[in-house]
Amino acid sequence: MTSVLPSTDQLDALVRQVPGVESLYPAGPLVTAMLTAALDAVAHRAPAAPLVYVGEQGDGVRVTAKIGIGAAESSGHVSGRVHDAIAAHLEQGDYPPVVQIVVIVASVRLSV
Amino acid sequence: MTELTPADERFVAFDLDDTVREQAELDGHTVEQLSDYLDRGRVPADPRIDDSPECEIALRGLERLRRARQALLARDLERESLRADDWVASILDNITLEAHAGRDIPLTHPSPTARLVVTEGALRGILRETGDSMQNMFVGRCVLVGDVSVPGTPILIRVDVTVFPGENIPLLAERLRQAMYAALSRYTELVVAAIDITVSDLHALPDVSVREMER
Repeated sequence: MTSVLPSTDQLDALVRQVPGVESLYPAGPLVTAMLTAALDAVAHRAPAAPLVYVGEQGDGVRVTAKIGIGAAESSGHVSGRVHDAIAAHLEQGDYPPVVQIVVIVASVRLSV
Repeated sequence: MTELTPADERFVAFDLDDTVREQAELDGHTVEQLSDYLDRGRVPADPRIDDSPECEIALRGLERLRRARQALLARDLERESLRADDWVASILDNITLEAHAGRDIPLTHPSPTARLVVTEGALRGILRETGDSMQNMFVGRCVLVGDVSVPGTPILIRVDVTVFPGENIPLLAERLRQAMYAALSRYTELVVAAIDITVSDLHALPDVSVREMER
């Protein structure tokens, strides 16, 4: 098995482009996210941590994306599209097999 | 099939467990800190707040609460509401409490690699915003009762609301119930057995004669 994991920067950009996705939140372990965010806040800089989380699980890869969506479409449709976009991206590259793609709808904005 | 609770059925009173109140901080932020952040126009940007969906849900709730209070002020009800301002404090507590991500509510997808969920916090945010967007009403508390993590398990939604003057309460409750059913079916696959609505605060117009005597 190859040890090359997919680029989180590419996955971040990919998920942001999915119709219906309004926000992308850090999906990694809480400790890492809070530490990175704290350092970013002290430095008054934009968040540097990758948002989509990619981890190894067994012989494969597990991807987690945490998103916010708008009111126009159902959470099932948007999260399904995010899953499908990530799955298609991983199929195109020389990556470990996908064990799981987790998409968390963490926020729904009904009003503008 | 979703079974609706009849509009004329007696509202069910309920109480939340107060023991979770101490968990009301969101990603390390209190409601006061989030309120200050709004006061500053979210400047300078704080990634710890901006990158948190829970904080975002709470901030939107705080903004709606502020608009509701401004509307009260405009209608000369502020003096009346200040006499029993605990409704605002209660809502403030619940906005942060209910914005926590909570349980995962599954969404179906044909792929075996997919695990799609909407968080309980997001859903409470949807229900709260649905109620807050209705005229003369503000959602105080919203609770999902039942195992939301098991698809197909019937659950119960319990909501309590503050109602302002000018509404027929049974009709308002029924409109809220229908709007919440619509939101639930759009954003989740939950089987909702019932939505029980309690009007926990009712604000009446100030008595004109009393107001004149106070002058």
